[in-house]
Amino acid sequence: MNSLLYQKLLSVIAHDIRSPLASLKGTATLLVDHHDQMDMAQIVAFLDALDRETDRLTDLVDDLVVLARCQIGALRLQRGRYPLGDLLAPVFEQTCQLCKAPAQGDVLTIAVWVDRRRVQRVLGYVADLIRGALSETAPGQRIALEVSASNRSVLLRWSDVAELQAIDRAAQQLTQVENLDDPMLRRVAQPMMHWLLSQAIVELHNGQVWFETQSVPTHLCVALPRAEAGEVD
Amino acid sequence: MRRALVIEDNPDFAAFVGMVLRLNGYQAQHVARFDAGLRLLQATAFDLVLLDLSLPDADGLAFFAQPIAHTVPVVAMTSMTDDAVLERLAALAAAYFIKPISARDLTALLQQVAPGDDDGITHVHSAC
Repeated sequence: MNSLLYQKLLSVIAHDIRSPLASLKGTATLLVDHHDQMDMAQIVAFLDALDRETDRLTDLVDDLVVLARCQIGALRLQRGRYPLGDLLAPVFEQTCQLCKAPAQGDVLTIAVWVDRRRVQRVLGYVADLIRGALSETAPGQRIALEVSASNRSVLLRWSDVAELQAIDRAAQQLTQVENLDDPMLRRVAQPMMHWLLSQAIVELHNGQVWFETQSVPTHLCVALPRAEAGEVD
Repeated sequence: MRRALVIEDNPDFAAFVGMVLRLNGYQAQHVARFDAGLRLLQATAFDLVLLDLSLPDADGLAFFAQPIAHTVPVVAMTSMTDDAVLERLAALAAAYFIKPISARDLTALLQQVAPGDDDGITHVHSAC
């Protein structure tokens, strides 16, 4: 990604912070000024909204901080040995309606050497990407997830099934962003940000996140380092 | 009762706007997408539209190119502070505001946008 586009993307993301801020400001002032005109259920619903939007704002700010730290090489990883199945469990939970579970059950017991919180966040971004890609396809479509391991790494590979081209569309959207005009950049800014964060975080682990677009179907791949016998938490 | 349509993709912000509308005597209806908003507006009469400019399926400014946009006062809701965008909004919308906005300021703005006055259009700018 060129630096001008990168700056533009950061500006769009910084701009997106106004969205949860708008809900927080509006809802808080509404409760202060008009709580006596609401019933308890309405008040609780607006308090829930405050809670939700605060989390959203926290995530956005955290994304910006993490990306900035990655850029200057200042992100510290808290690595440990974790069975792959544990890391993938939330992804399966989030995308169980969308993904075929991997057949290779034994692979899921292999330990990887990662910062659990950061990598789970990356896998969450992947789950979001898959959900987003599938939301534009016919209902009932699925993505296949294949898990394999070598001596040094574990490879997660999500693939379009049959004629489905959801991952291919996501790849086009994220990798051809150089050609996008400003309104389109606004719409893909968050997935772009998550894609950049995923690449930066996984590369810090000496792993890799990439699309394989040369073949059909298109694959989305994440390679993570396998824990070796001598590595301790 | 006056009817207002809220076209906004953030459900929490839409709930806030809907509540302020109800407190100001409107019956509020909410959609999250541009195309759904257009369809509803073509099928149902509204006294006011509150339109978010950053929608998932379209740029909200495209709304003003639709013939239906000239039949109802539109309050644009934006996070953009770009002068060029705001100048266009000042020319196209009955009013606009820059997010975030307080319940009190939104109430004041709604009271200034008065459908039925003269040409039905009052230009108001509210930035908080």
